[in-house]
This record gives sequence, C-alpha cells and structure tokens, in this order.
Amino acid sequence: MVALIAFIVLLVLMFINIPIAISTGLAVYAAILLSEELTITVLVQRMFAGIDTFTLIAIPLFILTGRLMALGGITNDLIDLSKSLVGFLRGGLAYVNIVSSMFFAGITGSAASDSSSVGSILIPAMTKKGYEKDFSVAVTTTSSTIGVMIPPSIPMVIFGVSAGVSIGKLFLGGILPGILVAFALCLVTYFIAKKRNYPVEVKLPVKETGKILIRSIPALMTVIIIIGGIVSGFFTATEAAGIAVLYSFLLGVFYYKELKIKEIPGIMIEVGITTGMVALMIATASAFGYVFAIEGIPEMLGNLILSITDNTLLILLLINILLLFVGFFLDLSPAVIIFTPILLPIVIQIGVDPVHFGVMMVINLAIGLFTPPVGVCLFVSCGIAGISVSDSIKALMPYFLAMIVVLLLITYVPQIVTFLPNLLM
Amino acid sequence: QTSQDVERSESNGETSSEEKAADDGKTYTIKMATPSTPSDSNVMAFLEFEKIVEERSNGKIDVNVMHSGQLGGHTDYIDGLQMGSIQAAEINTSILEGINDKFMIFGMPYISRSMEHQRDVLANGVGDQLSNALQEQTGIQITGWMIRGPRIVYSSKGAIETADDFKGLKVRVMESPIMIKTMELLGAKPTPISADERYMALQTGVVDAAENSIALIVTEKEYEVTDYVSLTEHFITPNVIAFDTKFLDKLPEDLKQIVLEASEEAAAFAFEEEVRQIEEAAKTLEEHGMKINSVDDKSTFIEAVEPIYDEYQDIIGQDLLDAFLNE
Amino acid sequence: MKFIIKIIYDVLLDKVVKVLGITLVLVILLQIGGRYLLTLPFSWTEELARFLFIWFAFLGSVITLRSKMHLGIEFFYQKLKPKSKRSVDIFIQLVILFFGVLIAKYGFQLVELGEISKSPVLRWPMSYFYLSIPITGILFAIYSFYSLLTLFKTPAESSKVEG
Ligand code: NA
Ligand code: NA
Repeated sequence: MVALIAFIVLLVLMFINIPIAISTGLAVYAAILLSEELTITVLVQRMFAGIDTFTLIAIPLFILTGRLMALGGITNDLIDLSKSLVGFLRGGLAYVNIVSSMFFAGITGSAASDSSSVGSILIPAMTKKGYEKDFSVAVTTTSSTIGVMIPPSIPMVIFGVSAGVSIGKLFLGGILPGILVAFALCLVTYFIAKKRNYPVEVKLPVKETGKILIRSIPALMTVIIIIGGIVSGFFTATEAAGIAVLYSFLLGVFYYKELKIKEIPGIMIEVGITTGMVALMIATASAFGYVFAIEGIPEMLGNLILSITDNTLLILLLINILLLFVGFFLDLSPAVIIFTPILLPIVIQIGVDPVHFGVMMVINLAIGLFTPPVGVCLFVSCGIAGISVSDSIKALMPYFLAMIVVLLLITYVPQIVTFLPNLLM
Repeated sequence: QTSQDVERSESNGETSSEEKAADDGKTYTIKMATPSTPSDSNVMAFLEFEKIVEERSNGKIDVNVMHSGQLGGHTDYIDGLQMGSIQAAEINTSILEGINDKFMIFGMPYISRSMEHQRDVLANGVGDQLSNALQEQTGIQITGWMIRGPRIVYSSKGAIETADDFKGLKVRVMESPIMIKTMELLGAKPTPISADERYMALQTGVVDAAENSIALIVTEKEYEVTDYVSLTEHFITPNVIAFDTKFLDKLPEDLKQIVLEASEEAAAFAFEEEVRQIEEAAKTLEEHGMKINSVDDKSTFIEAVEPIYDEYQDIIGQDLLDAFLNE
Repeated sequence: MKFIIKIIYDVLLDKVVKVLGITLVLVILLQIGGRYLLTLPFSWTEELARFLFIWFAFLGSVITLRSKMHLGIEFFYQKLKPKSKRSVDIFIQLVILFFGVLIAKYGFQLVELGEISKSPVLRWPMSYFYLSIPITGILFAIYSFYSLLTLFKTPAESSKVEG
C-alpha cells in the first residue's frame, strides 16, 4: 500500500514537470510519512549510499571522454565516415544516421548525448534533402539507443553496481545486440526508403575517404582501449574510464590539436551538470528502491510472477512486458536502480545468466528512451527538429516494432549476449 | 499543569512494571538485514534465530530476515539501526573499526590463534567490553558473535610453508592499511584490487595470490585460476549480530530475554555451520585438483608480523591485546 | 539578491565544482599509476576518489538545477496556457524549495550521526562525506527561493525564470 502511494505520488509530481529526481525523492518522503517504521533520515542516508560507490565514478569519466572527443570534431568525422560507407544507398542519410550512431556509441555512454550530437547535424541535413521531419526524428532517436548497448554504457555500469555483476562482461555482452539493433533499423529503413524513393548521397572519392578514416580511427580506438583494459584485467571499469579520459585528452591536444588546456575547467562544469543530473536520479531512486525493499515488494512481486507461471520463457516475457511498461514512465537509470533488486532474484531462481538479464533489461528500458510520455531521446530529437512529440509517434512505430523483435530475439537467444563475454572473459 | 502530571505518571507506570512484565498482547517486528546469500552460514544462523524467536514468543515477535543485500551492505546497517529502519543486522568488525578503534583488534594478524580461541576470549568479558563501547557511542549493541573462518592464502605460485615463501609474492588485498602492512611485514607485495576484479587479476597474473576465507574460493570458482591453498589463518574476523538497543528496551522483559538467548544460540549455530562449510570447501577444492597445505608451524609468520602489535598498541589498548595474547 | 546569487552560484560553486572534477580525474590516474608504474599501492586513492565524486555529483546537481537541465516531463506542461504555466511554475519552485529544506534538515541529522564514525582508510569523520547532502539542500532552497521571487516580479505573459 505504502509502495503504491509512493508510486502514485511519483507519477503525479513528474507529470507536473517537477524534475524526475526530486519527484522520486518526495515520493520516498510520502512513503516514509505513511510508514510507521521509517524515519525521514532514511531518505538522505539512502540518497548518500546510492552514489557512494567507486564504480559509479566511471559515469563522469565516460561523460568527460565524450566531451573531449567532441572537441576534436569527432562527430563530423564519424558522420563523414558513415557517408562514405553507406551514403550511396537509397535513403543514404538515414543509414548514415544509424551507422554513425553505432560508431558514436563507442565513445559515449548515454543515448541522449548520441541523439543531441548526431541529431543536431543530421536532422537539419535530412530536412534539407527532403526527408520528412518525423522520419528523421524516428531514425535519430531509435538509433541513439545503441549508445547504451555498445560500450561504454552508463546504464550497464549502474546495473553492474546494483546487481554485483562484472561490468566488463556487461560491456562485452552489449556489443552484438547493439550491432543487431543497427541492422534491424537499417532493414526498416530499406523498405521505407524504397517506398518513398529517398535520395542517395554523392560517393566520396577514395582519397577523401582515406583521409577521414585516418582522422577518425584514433577516436574509434577508445572503445578498444576501454574493453581491452577491462577484459585483460589490467583496469577496473572506473580505471578504464580514467584511461579513456587521458587518451582522449592526449588525442585532443596532440593529434586533433583542437583542445586547449585552459578549456578543461569549462568542460568540467558541463560534465558536472550531466553528472549531477544522473547522480541525483540515482540517489533518490536508491532511496525509492529501499522503501520498496523494506515494504517487501521484491518478494511480493517475485511470488506473484512465480505464481502465474514457472515456465522460464513465460516469466521472461512477463518481465519484458513489465519493463516496457515501466519504460513508458521512468527514465532508464532510475528504472534500473529500482527494478534490478526486484527482478534479479527471480531470474536467478529460474537459471538466467545475470549478464544476459542485465543486457536484456538495459535494451528493454532503452526502448523507453523514445516512447512518450517519458522519453529523453525523443524530447531531444523533437526539440532539434521543431516538431511535437505526438507528431513523431506514427513514424516511430515501424522502428519501435523492429526493436521489440530484436528484444525478443535477445531474450530467447541468450548466446547473442553471452557469446562474447564467455569467449573473452 | 495537572493534566501533564497525570500523563507523566501514566507513562512512568507503563515503563516501570506493567508493560515490561505482563503479556500486553502487543506484537513486534524485527527486520534483520544481511548482505549474504541464503547458503551463507550467517544467513542460516539468522533463519535459525527467526525460528527460535517466533516459536518461543508464540508469534508475538515476527522476524523478517532480509538477506542478499536487499537493504544494502554492512556500512548502511549502522545508519539503519540508528534510524530505526531496521532492528537487527549482520555487521563485520572491520566496519566497526570506523566507529571505535578497539575493533581494530580483529584486524591484527595472528591475534586469534583459532576460531575457538577467539570464541573463548570474547566470552571472557572482551565481547561485553566491545559491545558496551559500541553501545555508548551508537546505541547499537552486540548480541552475538558469529566467528568466521580464518583467512588463508591461495595462489598459482606454489604452497606457502614459511615467511620465506611470501618473498616477492604479489598478493591481492582489500584496501585496508592493516592488511597492506601485514602483507608487507610477511615480505609479500600487497596489491589492493576491488573484490569484483579479483578473479580476473588472478587469471591474468596481475597478482600471484589472494587471501580470503576458504569457502569463497569455491563460491567464486577461483579454483579455476589458482592451484595451491595454504592454511595460513592470518586473520580471523567475526561478524556480529547487532541490535538497536532502543528496540530491545522497548520489548517486555520476557521477550527481550528470548531475543538475547536466541542471538547467542544463533551465533553458536553459525560457528558450527562455518566449521562444517570449511571442511566441505576443502573437500570440494581437492576434488577440483587444488593442493591444500595445512601449515602446521606458523611461528615464522607470527614472528614476522609482531611489529604491527607495537604500532597499534596505543590505538587499540594494551589491555585488549593482552586479553588475546595471554588467554 | 541577484548579485548574491551570482557570487554563490557563478563564482564560488563554479570554482569548487571545477576543482573537485579535475582532482577526481587526477586521483583516478594516480591510482592506476601507483599500481602499474610505481608498483606502489596507494590505499587511500579509492576512498578519496569516492569523497570527491560525492561532492562533485551533489554540487553538480545544483548547477544542473541552475541550468534547468534536470530531467522533467514537459509533455503535459507544454500543453498549458501561459497563465496556468505561470501558476505551475510557482508550484514547481515551491516543491523544489520544500525538497531543498527537507534534505538540508535531515541531511544535518545524518551529519550528526556521521560524527562518530570514521572512514576506513583515511580515517576522516564520515560527516565530511555526509555534509554534501545538507549543503546541496541549502543551495537548492536558496536558488528556488530566488526563482520564486523572480516569478512574482515578472508579469504573467513573459513568465520565465531568469538566470
Ligand atoms: Na556507448
Ligand atoms: Na519512455
């Protein structure tokens, strides 16, 4: 009962446009007032405990890496590189959007930064070439979710911390699903582009392509450094993120020569703003999860699901439906924090690999990043295109369905996730 | 004025005789937190506690064991007990070092010669002394000591018989100054690495060895990446059953006695179970092809680490060191 | 008032967050360097990094508030007429003010609890860590109070909180 009221308070406050992190905190406050056992100090104590984890330091470090790379003009390079790879296809810019998001995913840990970086260049470019705005928004937002699948990935870090699962394994587990999502989105694009007869891009001369390749390869190495460092056991996830910062700093100063040391403090403020946003959500969501746990929700929900069925396939389907529903209303990070402790014991009981489950959960909730009413990537892309969220829904549908198909594939063919971690770690 | 007096006398009456002695029909809930999973000896002890208390209190106390870290870890429980969001918890003494220096005694290498030795010293007044110190500072009291299996060294670089075998050995340790110092005194190269990276570090040779309780080598499958277990038994650290004193004082006397006795029985249960699990783990490891070296003579280790006692005697107190050394 | 806000948020807070962030990166690099270049294990880097991160993240969230970058759901809000938007804006700032006061008040209780325990490695009082929460609460409260004042001063048509 207390948990239910907390959830309602959360939704009401959120829909009044009160910051999600603060809405969550006040939902916890409401629950504590109603509960006879809890004191309000629990709220602040759990907020603190929620972010007092060494591994979470990877978050600002990955954000910083992305910012340092962006200064070197990496976004343009990756888009140019994608143009020379897939631009000649019908609907070239749509493919370019998807492929550059996939490349971009290797240096960013969040989907929203992918939407804003790639989207701010490609949505106007696509509009100019006669692509419908809602279509551009649909391609940009759905492909930006690859940012949390291919490492680095902030939600995977958060899942790893909540579940006590190796972040290296989660990172490796996200790679093939990320590529698979890119492939599925390309497939949808193929049919739409053919039907609407979208334009093709002029092929770049080979020499030009070579130049772009040389410029962008060092940046694309970031993902190799992160993965390599963790997989070889040399670094922890946080340390690998630290090395990535050092690497992107050196690249920016000595290779791209765009980065001036005196710019660093200013960049730090940008990192502080994004970190502050994520961290406050983690903090209050942790408190929310604690109230859920104290109220015995994990056990209750576990028993409920297990009472419906003991069939592994059906349980996973139920969990997927639950998470999709959750994704409509909650942002990715808080949803991971609140639902990991609830769902993990259930899936472990039925013999699902926690790494498989983690990747499945992140991909599922990543779909929520482009579904209204709460979908950060959708907000960002619609903002860039200057259209309303409701106008984009129709164009989103085919891509939404494609991602559901990929989600089901990953759910029922765990090897897509577990193949790389089992091979390399 | 008058109404206040009436109120005061009423509440006095409540606390003095009526509520404490009589069966007032009130029921109580004990939320008991532990980060360990159900196969762990401490969780099993908590479940045993639940059974005993619920049975003897005729259901007047409902015990709710919240295991597997549902409510966070050891550090969180201290705040949780003080804020009253939980009533009991498993806490490791290494966490309590942060509150009272006396608890550093358990961090001293070879201060406890065996699990039995530690149990006897604690029973002879030391346990009460530490519990009182903690209670004074935090309102948390210790109702039972669940002594954990000794920490041992396991490696891929051969067995360890004497302090000489530690020379130059890269040993993974926790980020604890005492642990680092101990390994240095033994001649090893201590390398602090977080727990979730330990397996990988052993596999890739970032470290040659690690030290932990023997059962952990089984649960973490680290026998896959190491070959030798040496029963060095350098640290023996207990977990405590910690209770919120305010909660205990709220209980009627008969129920409070039930809780206190059940705590001690649960601690004894944990001891037996831990010993059983150590034996089982050793057997399992041998089945996986590990060589177990019992290290019968630990004198070279004990001699090597002695300087650390001098270093910490002012912090911990000579009386406490003596209580262990002289028993 | 505007001047004081500028000093607190644009000068002081800005500088502190910059220093915290840069030090955090350096400490992480020192931890790696200590292990692989000098083979000298620093036992304190992890704890210091956590300390810096907690302060960086919580104070960062104050700058997030000031930059209006905290994630919210504008879905329904945007459908409102300017006049009702203003009332909602006032309500939002009141709620943020309440949240700030709440975590400041109870944050200080946590700080008190933390006075008795010390961090395991650095042996700093835990209250140094916990203090980040009430300070953040106070900064939230002051800023939302200032936003309220601005809202009341501006006419309904151009209701926009100034920075
Ligand atoms: Na990524
Ligand atoms: Na959504």
